[in-house]
Amino acid sequence: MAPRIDQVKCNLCGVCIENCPGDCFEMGAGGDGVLVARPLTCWHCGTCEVDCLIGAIYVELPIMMLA
Amino acid sequence: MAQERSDFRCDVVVIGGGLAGCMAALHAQEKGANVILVEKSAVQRSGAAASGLDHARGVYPVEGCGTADEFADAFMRQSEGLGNRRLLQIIGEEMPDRMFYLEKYGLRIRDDNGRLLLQSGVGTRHSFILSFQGEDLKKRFDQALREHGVTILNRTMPTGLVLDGGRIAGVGVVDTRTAEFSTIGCGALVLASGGANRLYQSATGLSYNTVGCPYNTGDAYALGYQAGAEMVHFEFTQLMITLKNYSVPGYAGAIGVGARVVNALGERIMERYNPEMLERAPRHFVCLAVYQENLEGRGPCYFDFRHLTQDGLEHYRTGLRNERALILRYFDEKGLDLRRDLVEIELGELATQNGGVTGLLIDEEAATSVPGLYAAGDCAGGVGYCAGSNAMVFGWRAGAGAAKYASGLSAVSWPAEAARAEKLRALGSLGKEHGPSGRELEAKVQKTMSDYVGVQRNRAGLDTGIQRLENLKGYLGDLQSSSPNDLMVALEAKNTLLVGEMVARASLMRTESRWTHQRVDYPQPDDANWKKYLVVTGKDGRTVLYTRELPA
Ligand SMILES: Cc1cc2nc3c(=O)[nH]c(=O)nc-3n(C[C@H](O)[C@H](O)[C@H](O)COP(=O)(O)OP(=O)(O)OC[C@H]3O[C@@H](n4cnc5c(N)ncnc54)[C@H](O)[C@@H]3O)c2cc1C
Ligand code: SF4
Ligand code: SF4
Repeated sequence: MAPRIDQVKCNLCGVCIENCPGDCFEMGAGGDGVLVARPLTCWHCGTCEVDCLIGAIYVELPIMMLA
Repeated sequence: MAQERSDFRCDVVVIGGGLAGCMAALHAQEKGANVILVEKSAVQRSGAAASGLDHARGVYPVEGCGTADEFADAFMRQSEGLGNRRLLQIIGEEMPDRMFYLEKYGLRIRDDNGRLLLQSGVGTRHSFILSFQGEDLKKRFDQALREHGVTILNRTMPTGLVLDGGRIAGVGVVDTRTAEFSTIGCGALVLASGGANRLYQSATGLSYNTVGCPYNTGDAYALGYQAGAEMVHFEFTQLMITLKNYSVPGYAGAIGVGARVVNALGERIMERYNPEMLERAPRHFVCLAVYQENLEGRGPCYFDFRHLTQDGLEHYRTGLRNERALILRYFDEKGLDLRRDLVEIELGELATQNGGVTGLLIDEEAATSVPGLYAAGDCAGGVGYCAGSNAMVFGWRAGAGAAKYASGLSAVSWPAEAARAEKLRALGSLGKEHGPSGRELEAKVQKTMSDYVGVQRNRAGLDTGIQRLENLKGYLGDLQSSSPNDLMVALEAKNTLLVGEMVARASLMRTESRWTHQRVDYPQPDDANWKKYLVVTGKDGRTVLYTRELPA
């Protein structure tokens, strides 16, 4: 649920970590890449997907919304 | 974990970098003040307008737009007459200039032919609503703030105020990622951190998928309470219609293009409740109608777009793209074709009412009842519902007022003793081994509010709710947080509890039904006793309520 990061595409620019209003992302320790550390605090505003210039983020709508 | 950061000093502190706070900081700096902006998220994507705006109310120089008088009348009507006509008039008059100001920073407010485009309004006969492409509005603000040299403290929230002889002299703040504590001494302070949106259980079951911005948790009301500022309209909680299981304020856009609201029997429900205005009645009528239809077994209810032209549908989609593009994904993934399918809706979770309704009473300068304390936007109250336009116009005015107030004063650092005491009070939950978490506290507040202070209220329920909330206060000293993020949640939960109490007590005291406050034991409006503001404030840690005449 919430944002999903394509770790292959991600270039670790850090924009999502800087911008997310819910502080959902974190830089993982030891080369883990960017983590969605707090998916439950996601508002589903969709801005991380817009702001990631290389398209590495996809905001997945949870089953709670879709089913 | 918690460290000492530093002492800051400035002329004006602005709490919250949303629409109101950005305008306040920009204009205060333009007026010569040295400004620090404290923002819990990060300005470029924070607050209600994080993902953008698509419309802005105002009296625009365009044919077909009404006058400032008509503007004030229209929004007074939408606020059941419980607003401030003069302040609404100012919003109408000054909003175009705020939009032209943002245009200089690259905001696209015109169509390809350079024209300003008005859309038809909800709850008004004239159109006062400019459609524009505002998906990057917060980035434009961030850029303007940086060009102005405003000091921005992102990922930072206030813990408490320091008062000096009744005036505001400073604020304690904490970094939400490191738990570093700092103090700021100031000449004046602007509250602009929005309303309280995590006050009830969310309609969708996802606790941060709320209609309003979930990171606005009534923190401004808590500071206003501490300062003893007069606040109003806590009983008039916000009603909003949202898409089923996706809480978003897509209502104005849908009704604006002409969507109808129908029930499970296919009846256009507003024919029953307001045959004259139908869906264009003020929003709370439609919300209460949906509530009633469900209660009487004719739900679920739906938006019906099927009669719209291709142009109308395209206009709706464009609005969504500018405000919350993810709604289009929701339609797609659910396989909804608006030309063919009904779109199920539900009543969103309650919250304090944003847009100038619930909050600190302000005057024309956006000054509150406390010297040196200003407020604007969703945390300011008694103005009347005017959404982002209220925020931008009174944010701007708050900036000017605060800069003027601070100009004769010199900000001083906090006394060391006071700083230590505030740090201890604010960060006390960190590193404790046992105790309830902020999340637990929040969940119980939300459950209590949903159970006893919902759409329909009565004395027994409100009494019970207040008792539960009082019980919860007994746990505040025991709260435990194990990370800086946890600490933020705990501070938010404390404020949410306080706001919940203010809502419940105000709802108990207003013994009538009006607007969004519905008492089943007092089902009629009672103008003689209640066409008034009900003021809520804090005095020596206690909640005090009294009535006050409406502005002439
Ligand atoms: C999805 C959505 C779409 C909307 N579309 C429109 C529209 O098209 N037109 C319109 O007129 N209105 C619209 N509104 C309403 C409008 O956005 C709000 O009325 C307006 O943003 C209020 O401005 P504000 O500055 O008071 O609050 P916000 O813009 O929400 O800003 C509050 C700021 O304070 C910060 N904050 C919160 N707590 C703290 C704290 N403790 N310390 C520091 N900072 C804090 C927040 O992060 C945020 O940046 C919309 C609202 C939503 C939710
Ligand atoms: S914005 Fe995109 S590229 Fe940058 S760190 Fe985040 S996911 Fe990676
Ligand atoms: S959708 Fe919004 S809240 Fe959720 S992770 Fe992306 S930016 Fe953060």
